[in-house]
Amino acid sequence: MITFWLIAAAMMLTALGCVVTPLLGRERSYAAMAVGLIALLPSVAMAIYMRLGDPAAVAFESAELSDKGDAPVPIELTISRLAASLRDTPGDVPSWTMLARSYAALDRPADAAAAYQHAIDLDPRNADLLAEYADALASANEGNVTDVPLDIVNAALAVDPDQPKALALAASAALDRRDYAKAIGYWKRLKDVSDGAPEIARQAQKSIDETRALMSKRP
Amino acid sequence: MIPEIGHFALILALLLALCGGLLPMLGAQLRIEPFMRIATPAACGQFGFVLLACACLGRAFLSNDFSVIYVLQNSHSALPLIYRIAAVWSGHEGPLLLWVSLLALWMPAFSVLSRRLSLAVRARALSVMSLIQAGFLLFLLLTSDPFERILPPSMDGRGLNPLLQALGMVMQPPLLFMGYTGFSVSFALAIAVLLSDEPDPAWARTARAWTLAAWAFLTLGIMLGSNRTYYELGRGEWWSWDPIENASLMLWLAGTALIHSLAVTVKRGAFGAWSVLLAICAFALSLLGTLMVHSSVDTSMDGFTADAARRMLIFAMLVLFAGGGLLLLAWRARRLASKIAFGILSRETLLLANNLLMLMAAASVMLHTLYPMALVRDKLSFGASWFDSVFVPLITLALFLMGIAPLAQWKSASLRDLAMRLRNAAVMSVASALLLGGFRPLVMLGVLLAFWVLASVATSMGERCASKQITRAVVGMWIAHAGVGVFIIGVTLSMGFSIEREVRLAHGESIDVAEYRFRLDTVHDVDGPNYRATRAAIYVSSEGSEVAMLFPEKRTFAASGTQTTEAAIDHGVLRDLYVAMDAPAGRDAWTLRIQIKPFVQWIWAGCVLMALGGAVAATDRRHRRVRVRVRMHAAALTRRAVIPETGR
Repeated sequence: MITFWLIAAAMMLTALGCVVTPLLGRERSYAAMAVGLIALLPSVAMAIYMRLGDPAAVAFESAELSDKGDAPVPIELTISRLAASLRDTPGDVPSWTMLARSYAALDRPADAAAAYQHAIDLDPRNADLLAEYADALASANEGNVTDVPLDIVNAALAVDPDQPKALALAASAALDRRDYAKAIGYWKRLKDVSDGAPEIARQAQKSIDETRALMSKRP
Repeated sequence: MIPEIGHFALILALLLALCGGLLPMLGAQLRIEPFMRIATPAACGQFGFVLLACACLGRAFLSNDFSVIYVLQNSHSALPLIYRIAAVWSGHEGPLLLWVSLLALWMPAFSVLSRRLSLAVRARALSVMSLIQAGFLLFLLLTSDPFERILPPSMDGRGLNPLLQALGMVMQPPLLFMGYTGFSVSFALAIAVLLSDEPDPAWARTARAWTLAAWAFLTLGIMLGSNRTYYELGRGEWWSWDPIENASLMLWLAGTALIHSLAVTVKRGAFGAWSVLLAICAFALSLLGTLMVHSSVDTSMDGFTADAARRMLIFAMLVLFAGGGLLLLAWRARRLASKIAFGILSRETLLLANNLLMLMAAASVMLHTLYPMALVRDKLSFGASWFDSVFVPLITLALFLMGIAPLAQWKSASLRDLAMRLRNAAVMSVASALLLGGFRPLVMLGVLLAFWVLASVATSMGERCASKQITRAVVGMWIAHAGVGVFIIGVTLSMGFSIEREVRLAHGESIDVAEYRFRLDTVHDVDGPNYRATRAAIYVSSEGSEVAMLFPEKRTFAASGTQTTEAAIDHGVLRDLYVAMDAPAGRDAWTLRIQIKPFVQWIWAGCVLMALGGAVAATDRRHRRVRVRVRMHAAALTRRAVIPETGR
């Protein structure tokens, strides 16, 4: 952090040297103008940098390098450290999964999908991972469960036909295709497998009712 | 930290550009010498800071710093090193950073190498360039920040558009933008001259040297772009009339007109206002080209996408600089008026006519590039046939005059004298057309014009050598005009006698095209650094003896899943053998596109000659003589303690 500000100060001095030196001529000096520039240029530069730049990034990178013992660590820093450790040990499926879920929590589905991809390369028959991967890909694709995400949903259901997230995504994809019967079928299955999660069952039933209402309006 | 240093460097460059744009201009108007003296160090400072920003972005690419969004969007950890360099200027923000870097490079170069100009003109010109720089830096920082961060960083990048993963991309944008930004020097000089109470007579010579340098870079940039189209698109075309190519062509035509107009201003002191007008138009076209790069162009191979805010800001800059320049010209043009007379048939008239034809050609390209984009809302420009029917007649006439103008006398030329001197050239070009044209009208016309230009150069060389009137400017003109001749031969013969076949070949099958036999030996998969390719091995023979082994590829890139076609080409001075894989056609078989393209390399050889000619002419020794004269003049004035422009 200090290094950055020292470099920034040296850069400002250089910039000042460019514009102030010619004003301090031997024959006639424009000292007032020079003083004005000395006051104005660094303050404007700092103001613009604080507005447009990312000083938090410098602080973040400094914190990444330092270890302050028991001090609470922000999630961004945890993710960054986890990603760095995965570069050294890329065969750690739980860490890839944690990284992917962390990116998803930060609403960065494309990064989450990339991390899930690594996890699935190592554990290709994990239905939970496949479903979460499909969800991340769909989120990165503006919520559309088509093409690659749909293939992955089907792969997840092939491994575990009762995977709740895969069932929900399959139902959503069927609804998008206006295949109402299939959508209702998936939601029914989701309702059946959500014994311990009444909220999921209630949501599935609500979706079934809404889809039936849509079906009844169809000519 | 490195990206933040880059960001801070851009901010300081912006502040230096504002200081360097306002204070020296104020100094020149109020005759305050210390203010004028800020122009050079401010220009050098801008260059240093922008270069530092470029280095920071380059380092972010080389070290795979995916906390920088621009790197994240345009690179990948598996991307080969050479393409990571190309990736620096492959997206939206990078080309703009490259633009300001190259403009910043012209500024100290101009400052150091144009000392023959009075301090006031130099200060004003550098001020104008600094203001342009300030505009672009503001644009960069407010709408296209290349150092925007995302934290925590992504694990990997999204990858670079496969069409941009080409060696040509490493050098083409820098060369092209060197040309684009170089025209800001002649624009700045034109504005400086308009603002001066007494125009510095050295301005035209200085402007010509810098315009020639910019034109040479632009020519090389266009050549590499055309070369990339030929290699990368897999269709064997060398020009696709897409809006980005057309933008460069318009600037090239206007720049060519400006070089010739400035030649008249330098030699005869005429066309001063016309040269200033052309300098403003050329710079406006350079801004328009930048606007088009950022506003089109899903249809272009570079794959840039539209962005309304950015488009509007560049358009505002275009209106501000070009409109302001034109208003200033309307107000002060009378100062540049000359009373030099010349006959209806003279080198001045011929160069003026050529100027007008060049501008008409540029206008025709502009109309039919912008019209579909702006009004029809169809991003595709008009087809090649339209350009053939409008652009070709204008250029034909310009080439005809190009053969005559270098031999015509200044002030007044005699038609009879010209006819006598050019009769051998005429006979030679007609004979060549009959011999090589294959009795096809358009091919014959192309050959006739090419040899007309070449024979005119030969005639001029003969006459000048006999009279020992050889300067670098003249040698540069010969080389450039010969380059035009070579270029036309390449275009005419490659288009006129090209052979193209789309064939289905299974393993071991062969086909005869002209005197060559193409045999498909194998098709197998290979792994590249960041792609997987299907590669064909094609044995080419002629009369039983091997000519070449060609390996065209169809590549699929891992990061994006995009497929590209890599043509395989056997180059030759007289012909290229071009093979591209089209699509699989059943078991063990592929559809291949086979082309024999005669003289196609001459197209780019001609462009290299043109650029070389521009470079040689730009280093004409007469600049130094002017510098000595100006120094002597300045020394004399100093002795009298009167330097009008500086107020000392």
